[in-house]
Amino acid sequence: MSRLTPLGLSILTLVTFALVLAVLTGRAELIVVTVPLLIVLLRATRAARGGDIAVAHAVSAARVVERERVSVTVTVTGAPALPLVELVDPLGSMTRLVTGRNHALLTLGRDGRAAWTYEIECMRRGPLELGRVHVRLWDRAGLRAQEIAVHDPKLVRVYPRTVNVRRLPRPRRTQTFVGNYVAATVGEGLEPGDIRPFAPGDRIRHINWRASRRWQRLYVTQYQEERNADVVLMLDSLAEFGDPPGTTLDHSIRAAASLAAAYLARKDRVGFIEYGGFFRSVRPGTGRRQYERVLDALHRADVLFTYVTRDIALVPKRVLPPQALVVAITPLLERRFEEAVMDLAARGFDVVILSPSPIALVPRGTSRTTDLACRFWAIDRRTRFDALRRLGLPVVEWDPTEPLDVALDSLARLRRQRVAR
Amino acid sequence: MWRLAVLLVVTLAAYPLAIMPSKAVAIAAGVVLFVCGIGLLLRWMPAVTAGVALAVGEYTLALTLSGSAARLGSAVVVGVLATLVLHAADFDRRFRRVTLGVGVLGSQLTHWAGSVALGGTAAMMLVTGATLVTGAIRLPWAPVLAAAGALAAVVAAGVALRRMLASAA
Repeated sequence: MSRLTPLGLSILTLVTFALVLAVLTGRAELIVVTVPLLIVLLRATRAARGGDIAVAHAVSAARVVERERVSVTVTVTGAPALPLVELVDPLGSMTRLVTGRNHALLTLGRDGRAAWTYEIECMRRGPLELGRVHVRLWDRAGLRAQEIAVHDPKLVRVYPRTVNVRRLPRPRRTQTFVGNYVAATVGEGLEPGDIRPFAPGDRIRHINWRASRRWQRLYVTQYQEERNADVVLMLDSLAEFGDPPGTTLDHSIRAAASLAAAYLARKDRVGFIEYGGFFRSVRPGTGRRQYERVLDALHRADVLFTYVTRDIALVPKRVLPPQALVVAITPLLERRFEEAVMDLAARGFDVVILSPSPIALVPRGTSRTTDLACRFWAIDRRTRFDALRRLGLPVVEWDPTEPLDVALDSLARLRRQRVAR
Repeated sequence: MWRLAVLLVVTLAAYPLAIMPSKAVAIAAGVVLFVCGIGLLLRWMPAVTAGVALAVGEYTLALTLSGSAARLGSAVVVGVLATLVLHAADFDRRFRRVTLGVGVLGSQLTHWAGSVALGGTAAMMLVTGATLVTGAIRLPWAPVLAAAGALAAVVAAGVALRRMLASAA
């Protein structure tokens, strides 16, 4: 729909003023002053040559990681007679304009096409929908404008940023597939184990010639199998603390993505459970495709307040295998998640807890009250850690401002100490 | 585009001083610059419109103080400058921090030049015609005719705008 612009009102106002002043002062010059303005109005009354317009929206990548840049290209196609096309492409709150602008004024060339490109940086993980373009068609005089909205949706998946992790909590139980962990069972492997007397059917290359020469009898070396393990990452999305893109949930998701990448690199089967208002799960699997499935689930994770949470005991075995290592990542803000984790431990699951500290995200030094509150909060968290450790759960607090490896190293040492006892 | 708008505003405010360099006209020019400057800075068309209207008033003051005969040529210049100031200020208001595509600025300046040329030519033709008519015919009730003509011009402008909106809808 077309509308009169402020310029049209300005011209009309000025013409009226000049003519009134001309009559009052008796100066003919003021009538001549209005002539160019009236000519502009008369030109604008000529029927505007319009036409259909098409807007195509293209992005350089459909999947990016946090802080990566995406190039957006908007192409306008229409009749060359269209005078001026103004386009605005609104950006989401978690994007930052890097080069160019998301607001452009174009004129169509002889081929009826024009395009403009700008670059944005994706600050936070999540699904980013682009493609709602607002179009305004102007006449050259600037006296008429017609507005339309074009929707050409383009979804960009922004995945969490990962870090290289070296020290990982080692699963206690292995599975049946080939992996990187030395299993207790003997069979085909690289890690030498016991030796035993040669028996019919043993392979010649397994003969331990040194032992055989010593004891004047054939002995073979037994090798321990290398197996993989099941690891399930359990994310607490019941509550979060902090400002995006640095909330406790954001840090938890980055940790989960890093752990998933590290465990999958070791040929382990990795699964995922989002325990919160949304209950999402990914069955354990291996390979690059599994990593993409886990990232797809992670990038959509969000806090949704609810009074109803799913009973963890009802999660099927194909999602939560009984012998899996469960890595629970939680800021311990919600009691319900703690209860779910304790329930898992009581049922015999191998559980470890990695807790991103919300206290580290509080801006310190702003007031004494805030500092005092943080100290009380730290005491409360220590009490809860002690209660969980008394139940046999290894729990480690992680300062999100520090590398993840520091916390995982503490976790690995805690588990070794428990095994040693 | 704001630089062009500022240049045009300065020219429009200074032009009446060339007709009548006096203190009153200089003060009026200062007021015009201030009001138009506020409008350009804040990208507010009502202020720019008020400034241009004040410039027309300043021009009238200069003509009155000079006491000279009708200077229709200068009126054409003021009319053209006023049109360009409004166009430039409006363009800057709409598109100051906007990416301009290839050829946009050039085509817009060409369009303004065409409008200005057409307006100036029409004004000169009107002036010539009026000069011939007033030389040939004496009109004792000229002020009444002038008022009627002004009213007709305003009504015509309103009708033209209404037609424009009706055809677009």
